[in-house]
Amino acid sequence: MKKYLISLLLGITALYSNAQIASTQLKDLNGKTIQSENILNNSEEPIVLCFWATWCRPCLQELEAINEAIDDWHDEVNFKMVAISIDNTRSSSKVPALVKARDWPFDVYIDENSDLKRALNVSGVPFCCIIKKGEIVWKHSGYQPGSEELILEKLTELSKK
Amino acid sequence: MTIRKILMGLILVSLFHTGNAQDKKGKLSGSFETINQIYKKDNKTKAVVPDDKFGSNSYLKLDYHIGKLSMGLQYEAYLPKLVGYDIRHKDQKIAGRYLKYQDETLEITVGNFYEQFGSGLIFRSYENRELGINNAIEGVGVRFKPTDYINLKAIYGKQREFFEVSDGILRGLDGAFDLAQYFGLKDSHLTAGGSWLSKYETYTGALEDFPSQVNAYSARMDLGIKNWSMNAEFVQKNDDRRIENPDIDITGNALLVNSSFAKSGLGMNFTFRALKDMSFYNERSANGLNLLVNYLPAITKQHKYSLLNIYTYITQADGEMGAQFDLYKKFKKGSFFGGKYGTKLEINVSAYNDLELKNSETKETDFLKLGDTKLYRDINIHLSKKFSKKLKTKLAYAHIDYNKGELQGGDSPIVKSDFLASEFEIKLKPRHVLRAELQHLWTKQDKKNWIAALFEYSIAPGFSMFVSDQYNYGDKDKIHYYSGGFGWAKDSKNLQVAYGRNREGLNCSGGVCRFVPAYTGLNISFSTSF
Repeated sequence: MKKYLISLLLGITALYSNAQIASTQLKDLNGKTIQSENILNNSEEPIVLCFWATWCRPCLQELEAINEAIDDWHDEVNFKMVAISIDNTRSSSKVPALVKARDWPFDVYIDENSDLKRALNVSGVPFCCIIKKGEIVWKHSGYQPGSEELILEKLTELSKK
Repeated sequence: MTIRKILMGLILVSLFHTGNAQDKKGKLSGSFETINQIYKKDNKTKAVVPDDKFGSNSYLKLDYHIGKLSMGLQYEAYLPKLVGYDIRHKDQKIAGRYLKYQDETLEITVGNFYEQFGSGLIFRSYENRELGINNAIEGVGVRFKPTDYINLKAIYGKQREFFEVSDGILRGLDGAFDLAQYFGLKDSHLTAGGSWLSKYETYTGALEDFPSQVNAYSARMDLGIKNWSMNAEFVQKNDDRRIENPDIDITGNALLVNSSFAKSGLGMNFTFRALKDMSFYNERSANGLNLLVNYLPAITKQHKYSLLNIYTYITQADGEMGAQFDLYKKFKKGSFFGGKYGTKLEINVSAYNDLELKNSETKETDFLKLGDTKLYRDINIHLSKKFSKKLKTKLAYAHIDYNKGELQGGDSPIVKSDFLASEFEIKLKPRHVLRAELQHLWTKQDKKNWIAALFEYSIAPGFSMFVSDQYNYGDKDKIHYYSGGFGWAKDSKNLQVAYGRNREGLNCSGGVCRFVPAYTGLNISFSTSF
């Protein structure tokens, strides 16, 4: 088995990356199934993609902080904000009620069996990344109050390129 | 093993072939996670130290994606396992590999994969490293979406059991039909779906006409009009017999109904669930968290406060009936309750009882007939208010009735507890935040009163440190469960170091719980993705 692993690693390192993200199935807040590529790969503007869950305190802190700042950010740079809930069926039914009550002005989808989380190799929540032309160009794991400003810094840098 | 080698070979061949022959660029990604603990003897908490005094769980996942093909593997090491994990988590291995083809309408996976039918009441394979659960299917999985309104899934294979595979073979079909899309209904949605799951396990016992095959069926519906939505799923499971009672044939049933109303500033959600003999295992002799075919989480609030996780509800798959209600309300800025920055209110209520007994000999319960035994009650209220740019506060109250005897075994009365917590988040200077959390739990039963405090200081974007204590001052042993540590994060790298005492109890994640013994020591975890 070891030789297979070594060959695989050698094979992989011989190649280099620049491809689109694998597509998985997500649900929108109405329960409709949607392919993630329709959200993530077909956008001209950068996408800020944040993984969260209703039971995750720092995730809610982060999304509330983005919610407060998002109008100012939109004045400075063009981007699309997408939040992916990894709540499984224990709590996924609460997601639409929570999101609409909090008036979050961004698209929210549910990744009930963590398919997208796995495809993007997200270790845990909170986790945010920026996707440009189907490619992840920045990522950040965890949240401390104020760290959402990194997102604006990166978006500004990308807009100048 | 041979099939695994062929698959590994295929992955390699595909990798070189696609990488060299096509004019496309592939994408390698992956993640690495390691959790390490050094244990110390602690007479006060009666923490047991394993022989090695060291535990380490590590996971490496690699994925390669090019055009319509994806492939990958997962390596796991338990050298040795962390305390609380099953003893069958042992040594190291490439524990999963897959090859996937995917185009606009079709997805075929060979190897290890995860899948869910409906809400998971009938079938869900998933990974939860925190609990040591990985019941991935090893076989073939197909997803087919021939039109915008039809979504089909099929699975065939065995289930992963630690580093081995199950004896039972699963095959299943799931279909969902989007009627709203089909009839062109705007501003509303309507989906109907159904699943079939079959398990086959060889029987070598003495009984004649013993059913080796278990069949389960489910029907579901999703309906939504404007701000209101409702979904329901019903499951029936036939001929499932346990190895200890091969003569007893009990039909399993489950019903889940969920309804939501949500508009700007207000959200409500109501869930009802009834279960009767719904433990669905891949093997007749399996028990605990291992080899489960379906997913039956506790439909209660997953609390964020540590003291509220002492009395956590555990799903009673053999017989339970209950409901949960959630209210989310945001008082807008400028309103009487909202003040300058707005105020958020959350109320959650849940209640579960057992089912009425139908047959005292076989212990069969009566589906949808509420029993007299109260299992769990929880009412909790959370209020969040921002006073200024520098100060945010939270207040929480909860009352929980917990039937410890029924839920965890033993001779225990119903534990009635009240809980109060307050939280302050103070911005000391830009990017420097101090968070303080104070909790108190009152109960006259079990281990009596607890008090807890936590102070966390964070410097954005990546540093934080904390000290905390949970003090069981009502109990005769009067134990302090102290802890302290720091965390550092940059890009996708995340390091956590903590030292302290961990109380014994249920470690619950996603509504499924694992018992973890008390331990004292150092914990170092690191994760990254690339």
